[in-house]
Amino acid sequence: MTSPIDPVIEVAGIRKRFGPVTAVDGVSFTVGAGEVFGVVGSNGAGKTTTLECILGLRRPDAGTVRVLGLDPAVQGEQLRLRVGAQLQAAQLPPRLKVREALIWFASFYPRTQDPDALLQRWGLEARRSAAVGDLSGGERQRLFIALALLHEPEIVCFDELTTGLDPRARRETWRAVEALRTGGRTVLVVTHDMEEAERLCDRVAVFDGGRIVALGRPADLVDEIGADSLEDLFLARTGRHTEVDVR
Amino acid sequence: MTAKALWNTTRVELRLYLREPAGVFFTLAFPVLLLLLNGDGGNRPMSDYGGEGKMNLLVPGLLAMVMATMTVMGLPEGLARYREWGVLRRLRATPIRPSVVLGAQILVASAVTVTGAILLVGVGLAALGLDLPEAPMAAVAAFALGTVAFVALGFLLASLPLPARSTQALASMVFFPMIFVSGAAWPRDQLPGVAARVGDFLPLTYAVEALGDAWRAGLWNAGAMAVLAATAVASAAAAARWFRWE
Repeated sequence: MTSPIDPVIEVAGIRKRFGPVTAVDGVSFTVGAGEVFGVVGSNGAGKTTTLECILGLRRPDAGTVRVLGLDPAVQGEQLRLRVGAQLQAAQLPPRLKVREALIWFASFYPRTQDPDALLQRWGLEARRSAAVGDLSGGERQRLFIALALLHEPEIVCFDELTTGLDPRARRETWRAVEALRTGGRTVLVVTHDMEEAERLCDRVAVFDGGRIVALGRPADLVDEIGADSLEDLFLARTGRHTEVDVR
Repeated sequence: MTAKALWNTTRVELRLYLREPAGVFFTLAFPVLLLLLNGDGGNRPMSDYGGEGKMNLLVPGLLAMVMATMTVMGLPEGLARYREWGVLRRLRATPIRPSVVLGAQILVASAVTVTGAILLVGVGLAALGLDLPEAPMAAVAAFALGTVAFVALGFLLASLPLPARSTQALASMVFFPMIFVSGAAWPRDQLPGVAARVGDFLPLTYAVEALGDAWRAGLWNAGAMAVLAATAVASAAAAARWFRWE
């Protein structure tokens, strides 16, 4: 495995415990500028905690994190001007309206894209006056993506981006992430969806039990063990593969 | 940057407040309604109370109730819901300081409380023969200090690690007994002894006293104001220690 030449995210040996549970247990990886990097694994594998350390929402118990040369735990505010995030389990007040949400979040940054252009781009034009609580799952997710991109961040993080979306919305969202790549932006995709990781990511880190069990280009990882897909690799590496005999 | 974010967050919070009809009713209309229901005879002298005008007796208590309504019933539930929905979590992923979110909550709670007070006193003065306070500055000071104390108490309730529904239940359990035993919604001297004793331990009792003394006797009740100040400091310190974003 080679490290990127121009790393924008450097995670080195981080650990995080919550009481008796070790959520992240010695995780290291680097993400290069312009790369689409996947943090994949099942629920409880330590993916979100790792993301929270990268965003400066949690301070790791051990190890170091550098994002755009900054220490997220110390220079979080500065960092979050340059990083956008769509987070899991993070909603908006249901009575807030779509356009209001964008205008509100725009006031947190010195410079932003035009909220109306974002509404257009993410297909929310017709829903601009709808309450957030009345949006469909796909619409809500598109709003969260638009909010994450509002300030044209250098790095954008998506946590379970397409969970709960119908197949069409899921594919549209993927195409949008691919469009971000052509813009040269670094994208961190946190997902338990192996198809999504395989389709979107240049490289992936496969998490299991708070550790990285595989790291590299999806195609290489799959070839290495002669698997058919990233999902097979995941099942093989994480040791949770239950054989069902269907004779 | 922070000023712009604070202004916008406050505007958003104000809009969301106005979209909850029940909240608007209880904070702004309900106290005025109570006053009007007791309005027969206007500010007529009450022989049981040394000939003091009825409105002059009622309004300071209802003002204290206004002071506790948005702060104890609105603020903690709102913050607990924000925590439950992950709104606070989403805001933490932006560069704004957490204090901006809390600052907006304080501004909205204060603005609603002051508006409720102005409506109540305005209706009293215009329609029911209420007298202006004997010591206006003391009344304003007591109201301001009490509002600060109850905002802090609201944050203390919001900082308890409870689901939003439990926070709401707890706020009701604090609010309703408190307005009845403190003299805010019912005269204290008409309460049974035990209830009046319970009132001695509640900060709202001292808000009622400080406002009543300013209104009718022209007095600065330093003791009562000290209790309100102590409530503010102790609640704010405890809330700062216990408050969690998630």
